[in-house]
Amino acid sequence: MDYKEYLPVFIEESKENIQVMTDSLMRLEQQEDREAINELFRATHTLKGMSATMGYAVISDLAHELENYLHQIRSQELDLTPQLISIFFQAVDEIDRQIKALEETGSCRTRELSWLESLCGPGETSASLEPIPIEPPPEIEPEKLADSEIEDFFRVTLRLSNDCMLRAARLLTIYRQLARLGEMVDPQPTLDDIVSSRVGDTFTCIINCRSVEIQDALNNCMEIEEYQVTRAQAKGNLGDLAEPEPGLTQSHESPGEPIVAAGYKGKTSPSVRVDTEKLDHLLNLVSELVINKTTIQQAASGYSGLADGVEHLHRLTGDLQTIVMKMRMIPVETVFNRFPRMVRDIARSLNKQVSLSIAGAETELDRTIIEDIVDPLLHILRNAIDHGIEAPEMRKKRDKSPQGQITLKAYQTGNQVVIEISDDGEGLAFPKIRQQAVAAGLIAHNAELSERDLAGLIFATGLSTSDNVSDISGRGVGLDVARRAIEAMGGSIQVVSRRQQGTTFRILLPLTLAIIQGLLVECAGEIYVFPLSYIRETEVVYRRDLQVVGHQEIVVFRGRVLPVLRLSQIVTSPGQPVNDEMSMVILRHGDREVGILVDDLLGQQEIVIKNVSWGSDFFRSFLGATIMGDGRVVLILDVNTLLAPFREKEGGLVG
Amino acid sequence: MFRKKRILIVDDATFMRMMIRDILTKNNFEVVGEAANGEEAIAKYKEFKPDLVTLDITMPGMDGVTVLKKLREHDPSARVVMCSAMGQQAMVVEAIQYGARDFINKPFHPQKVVDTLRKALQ
Repeated sequence: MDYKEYLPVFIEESKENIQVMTDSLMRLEQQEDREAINELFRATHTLKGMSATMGYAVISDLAHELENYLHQIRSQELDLTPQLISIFFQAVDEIDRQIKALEETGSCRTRELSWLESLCGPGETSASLEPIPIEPPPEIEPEKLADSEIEDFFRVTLRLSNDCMLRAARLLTIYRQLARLGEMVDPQPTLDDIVSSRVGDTFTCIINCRSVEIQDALNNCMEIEEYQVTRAQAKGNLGDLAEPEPGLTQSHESPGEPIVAAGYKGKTSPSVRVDTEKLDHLLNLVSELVINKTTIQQAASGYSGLADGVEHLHRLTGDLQTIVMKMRMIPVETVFNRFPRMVRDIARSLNKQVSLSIAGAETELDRTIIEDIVDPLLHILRNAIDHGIEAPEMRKKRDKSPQGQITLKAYQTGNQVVIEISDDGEGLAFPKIRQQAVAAGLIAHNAELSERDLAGLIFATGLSTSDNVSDISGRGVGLDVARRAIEAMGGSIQVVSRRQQGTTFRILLPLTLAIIQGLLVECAGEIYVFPLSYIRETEVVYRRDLQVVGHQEIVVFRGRVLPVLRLSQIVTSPGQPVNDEMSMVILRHGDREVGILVDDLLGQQEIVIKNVSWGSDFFRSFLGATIMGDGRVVLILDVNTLLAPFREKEGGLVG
Repeated sequence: MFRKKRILIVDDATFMRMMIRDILTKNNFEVVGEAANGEEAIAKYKEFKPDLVTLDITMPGMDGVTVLKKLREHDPSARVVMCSAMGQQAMVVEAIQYGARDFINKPFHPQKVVDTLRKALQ
């Protein structure tokens, strides 16, 4: 029986369940919450069932242990202490690591003996041992194997030697040796007893493994006077597990069924999981169709009989495109979900009190953007806790609540999605940023900069790569990396900060990367596209308006000096004749504006970005290409690259 | 001929280190280093990468359990046998939960020390 083809689904759903478990634990940490316990229990149970079906005993065993504890908590036999929650967190982390290992290597990590063993014990009773048919019945006929080689339930009974002094410690080493052989049932004394030294000189348990393994393990333990290993149950009882009846085996072997059962959540609308590659492929096909439709539209313009049909085609392809785009959108919730846990852990490690509130988690973004936004967000959140939020004592001194507040908010405006991260902490340390920026040669020592200009400097490369930046009690560590990642997605980042009142980072992201509004321009006989989102305005300029300052061509535009670039010099070769009358596209990126001179403006159009793997450096200035209705391939300009030379001079220009 | 197993001895008391060294060298182990405190232990572990560490629980500064945690952080497969005195059961239990292979009791019984180490090395 091979479940390999279900592995991606299994991993995906396991992650969802791990998320549910983490969320519930976070809630339980705040207050007693029956519903959270129930959710935790359900997710754990689902995970156990799925992993057992897939044959990942390492995961199902752990989930099983966890479930036993939760069962006792639900029936109020056990109190949910903070220590227990902490153990649960660690167990969830371990499951998470196993799933990640599965995802990366295709197999689980071998379980290390560690704190995990502390999970075994009181939860384990023979009554709670549910049949988990993990292993398929062995193909080889059992009779042909030596008895000691057959896996079964064995009762182990042992007595410590008389001169054993630290009995609890000794029993613990034995317990651990045995526990890693297989599932242990009904240990006497239990792990809790051992850890709290309630022990005599004997130990007994039932364990599911091969008897030869038990002998090896016990022979390798110190201070055992004698031991016995006997088969625990007559066949027909527990023995059934090892040799399921044909009917039972059948139901476990139908591969579709357990997965469907595990995937059913009861409250969500019916959905189908689709491989993202298929979605990408679909988008590609639809964009080809859109291009093709434009060709047909143009060709049919002379034939009145085709008008209705073409109009219908136009509407259908439009709808189709919208739906495909929507299919690629996922709520930011999928990444925001991870942050409460992370914030909790970081705050704890720094001895700070932080509460994270999230708004607008349902806001949707293209999945490729969502994947890339995680790291920058993490970075900013980490900075906010580390440098932004003050220690509780300091906060009290400033008449703030000892618990710092971080707000993560997402919302859509027009064609953009905004993500804001605000804290009510220290605020940026402007004098220190200034000092660092001067030291890094970013600004002149006497430069007059507003706080807003200074705040912008925290994203500058020079400032953040310096080693002693962590001395800045404000921010600045690696923010340039976050900035570049965001800009690479076609987004931008700004920061606003008020001393001792807090800092807000605002990230603007395009809704989707695949289809953008573009401005078509002509230059040296070729057509190029500018992404519309960067364009501030367009203007006609004349040759006489151009001036040269230093080595830079500029134009005075509405009383301000605007550096200009000639597109012809970027895309073809320098020294092209210059027309008397030219069009200028004014690009804006962050606080920087640059005019780009082109021969003519052709119009605005929705374009589908096709990624192209460029071989040559020349193409660095391009984001990709698109295919026009007439089949022509047109290059899309990369504004980030175009403006890069101006950005590096930023400090100098300001100063 | 099997390679001799390489051992690092960690104990703040010089005579305890000498005693363990004597027991081990007489029984075909190679003592690659000795450390008198936690910092030294971690540095020498990184330097010598021994097959096994004997680690005293009670030491000034970093205690044995803390050293154990750090060693296991650095190398999750580190084999450590704790050395304890009477009345330290809780510490030994904690150490085992953090991954110590086994423990030996003071006063040391040479044969027991050797047996424990041999088994811990399997």
